[in-house]
Amino acid sequence: MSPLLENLDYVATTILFCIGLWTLIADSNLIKKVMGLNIMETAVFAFIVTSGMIEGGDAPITGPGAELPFMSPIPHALVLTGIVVAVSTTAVALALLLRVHREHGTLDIDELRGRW
Amino acid sequence: MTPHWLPVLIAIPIAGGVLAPVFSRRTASVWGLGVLAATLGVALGLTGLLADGVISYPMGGWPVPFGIELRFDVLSAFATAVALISALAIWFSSGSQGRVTSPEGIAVLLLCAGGMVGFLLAADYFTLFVFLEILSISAYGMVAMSDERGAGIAAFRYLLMGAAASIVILLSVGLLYTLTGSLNMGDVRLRLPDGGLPLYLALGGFTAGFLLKAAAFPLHVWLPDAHATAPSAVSAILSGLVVKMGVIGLLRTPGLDQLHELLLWIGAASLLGGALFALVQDDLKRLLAYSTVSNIGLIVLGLALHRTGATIHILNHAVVKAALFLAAGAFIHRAGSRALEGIGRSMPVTTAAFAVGAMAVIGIPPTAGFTGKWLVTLGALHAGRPVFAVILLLSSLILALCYARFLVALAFRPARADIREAPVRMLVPILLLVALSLVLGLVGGRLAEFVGF
Repeated sequence: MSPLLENLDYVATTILFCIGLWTLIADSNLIKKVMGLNIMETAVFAFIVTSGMIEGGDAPITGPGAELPFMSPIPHALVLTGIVVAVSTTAVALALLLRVHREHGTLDIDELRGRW
Repeated sequence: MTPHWLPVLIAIPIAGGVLAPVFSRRTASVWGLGVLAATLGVALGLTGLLADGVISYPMGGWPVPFGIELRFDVLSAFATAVALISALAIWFSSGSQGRVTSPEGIAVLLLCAGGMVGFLLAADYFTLFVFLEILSISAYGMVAMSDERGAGIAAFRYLLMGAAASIVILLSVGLLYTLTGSLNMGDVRLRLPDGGLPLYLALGGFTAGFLLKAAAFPLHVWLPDAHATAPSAVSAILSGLVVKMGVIGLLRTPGLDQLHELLLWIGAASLLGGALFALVQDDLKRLLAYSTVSNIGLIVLGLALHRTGATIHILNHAVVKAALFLAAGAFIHRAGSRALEGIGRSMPVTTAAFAVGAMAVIGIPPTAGFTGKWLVTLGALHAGRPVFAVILLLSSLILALCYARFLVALAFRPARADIREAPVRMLVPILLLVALSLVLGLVGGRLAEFVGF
């Protein structure tokens, strides 16, 4: 199998990351920029989660019926924390956008540039 | 017993921040000052114990490469500056009607201080990321505390770029974990592969992310708006402390030596670019913001040329720039606007303090700024790269010109009779910081011994 197909998950997360980055940079709507940020975050989370996966791996819970090999639980724990961080960032971003909209009446970066 | 103080040091400001909203407007500042005084006490105690070696604490008793480790080393001693400058910023704003001293404002300020303390103590990359986010998110909120028009946009732009930097840093943490199977800083260093694309991607991600957080040129575009529109007490914290976290993050990055050449040029560009932009500013706070970009450049340059000098400058610039922003805040408070011409004659004490602070930024001995600049210049000469010593001196000259131009406008225009000297609650923090900068300048040799990379 070609290395690209073998690491299909990495290819997918890279594409997702680039979509998010493009939205963040190129879109003129500030809400869509926040969405782009969220897509980038999701891509990174997916990358970290899949890095802990093992072909045929089992959930890392010891006890009766547990079978090796286990999947690494650490990336999952990291991503859980990461999701909390991402949610807080998004919440603060949207709160700031409320203020921007109240002050300037628009969320379009091109219109904002003229008024501010 | 000593190591148990490490989690306590982080817990004090964070718990204090969470509890702050239950206080009333009058008592919240007192609460904030008390919490930060306790933080400062613990941090000073731990710094005193550093002579016996680095203090390590395994969280929950899990042995070190597996569990979360907290470490108190020379860089962590910066926590004293974090507590001190945050406390002085609160003192400076106490009694004013602004959002900074509202219970919510104090809460955000304390959370930011707690995030910075945690960032300084974290000994594994993921904990580092979590505390970076705590301090960054509170910093976005602190910018938005300003009532000025445009502060919302400035805070939002800061958030967009800061969050993008955080994502890149998290990606690098993930890459390092897949490469080495470990998150502990010491352990990762041992297991780091010699080369290969994933390693360079991780190193590049850390560097780009932390340089953006530190506002190094050309990743500085968010800084002038955010630091200039924020309330002055907040600007002091942002410029003095928060951007320094980016540089300290770089110091924590594994394999930094491989980026020697990149750091040199980014540092030089930032040093010169920040100074040149500062030259064309008419607004005092924007001038100070660009001068921060220039000083971050010096620190980044120092990371490649003379790490002790860079580390000393992290502390010295924090003290000096906090003093300058607070002085600017006092001017603006009394003038009631950003038009400050001639105000120097009406506010001689503040102006004198500002002048000493300006000399420190420029790097005139015996002020604090001199030690770092001197050591980095020596480093450039020792490394056989005199061009960077020239750039450093040139940028110092340009900065001297900026500040001189401003001081002339302050002091040598017709005095404004309607303006009085700044109130005592503002003067005391400014004078304390200026005095501290002079002391730090005089003990420069001892500091270098203490850092001793």
